[in-house]
Amino acid sequence: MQIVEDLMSRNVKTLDRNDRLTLAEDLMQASRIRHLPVVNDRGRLVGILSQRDLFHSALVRALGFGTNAKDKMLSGIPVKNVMHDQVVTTTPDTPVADAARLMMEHKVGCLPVLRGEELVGILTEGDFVAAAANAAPGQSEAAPVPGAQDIP
Amino acid sequence: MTKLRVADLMTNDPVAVAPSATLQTARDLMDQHGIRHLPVVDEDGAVVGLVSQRDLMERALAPTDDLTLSAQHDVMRTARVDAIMTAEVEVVAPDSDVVTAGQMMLENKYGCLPVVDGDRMTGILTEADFVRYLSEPR
Repeated sequence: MQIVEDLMSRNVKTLDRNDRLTLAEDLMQASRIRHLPVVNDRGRLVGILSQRDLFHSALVRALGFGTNAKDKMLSGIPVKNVMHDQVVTTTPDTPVADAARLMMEHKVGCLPVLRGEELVGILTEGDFVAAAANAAPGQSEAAPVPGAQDIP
Repeated sequence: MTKLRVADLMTNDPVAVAPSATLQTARDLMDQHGIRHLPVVDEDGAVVGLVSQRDLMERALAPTDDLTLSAQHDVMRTARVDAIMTAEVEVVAPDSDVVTAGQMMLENKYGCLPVVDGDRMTGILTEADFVRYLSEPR
């Protein structure tokens, strides 16, 4: 049985609550990711920010969509004002099917992975594609991932 | 165990949009259904393009910077989807195996693949379909 640790990405990019939204957008574009966990100064998870939060916020609708207007808006607002602080999380030894159910139930595209209070990884929709495709770019040293035909 | 096929995972009868639809229609459909991609399908059911949330932001709205908010809304209500869609779209067949489809998505960073049987779109394969498949008891 596969567990979360087998699929998750380990090098997690994070934000500080006081980072500006422009940094969040740059990180998402450069890394082609849609979610960034937010941590406090002790590295503890305090929130999550998604691409949807940036582009579909009421603010964007109110200010318009042009590049200048958007940059002005994003550079003026700290992450903590927009992030979600109720975060659905999982643990490294949770069965993958349970994590998948959690993502479906809560309609979330990713789950930060916590060991105790420590953020040790992130499980995204793309990690499920990677597992099915026998590729595993999100992980390096972990056990080989069985092919899709082995999915129970 | 038999190999998984795209048809085993895909979303059937996906939400699609016509090439002549307005950008506002595309945006409303994405919001209503909580989706990031819309296949663009002509009247014969053939896939002629794909439009994403990002296309709306970057191709349609960013160049409207000098316009007033109400003029931007006019663009949304009048410009057509086929003016900003990605016209060269990779597709898969329903009987393609999931491993190959997943590799295509990863290597090209596609968020989804329209599923085409003959000339007609019959489904769409998204990242979320892989999650849903694993979440279902069997």
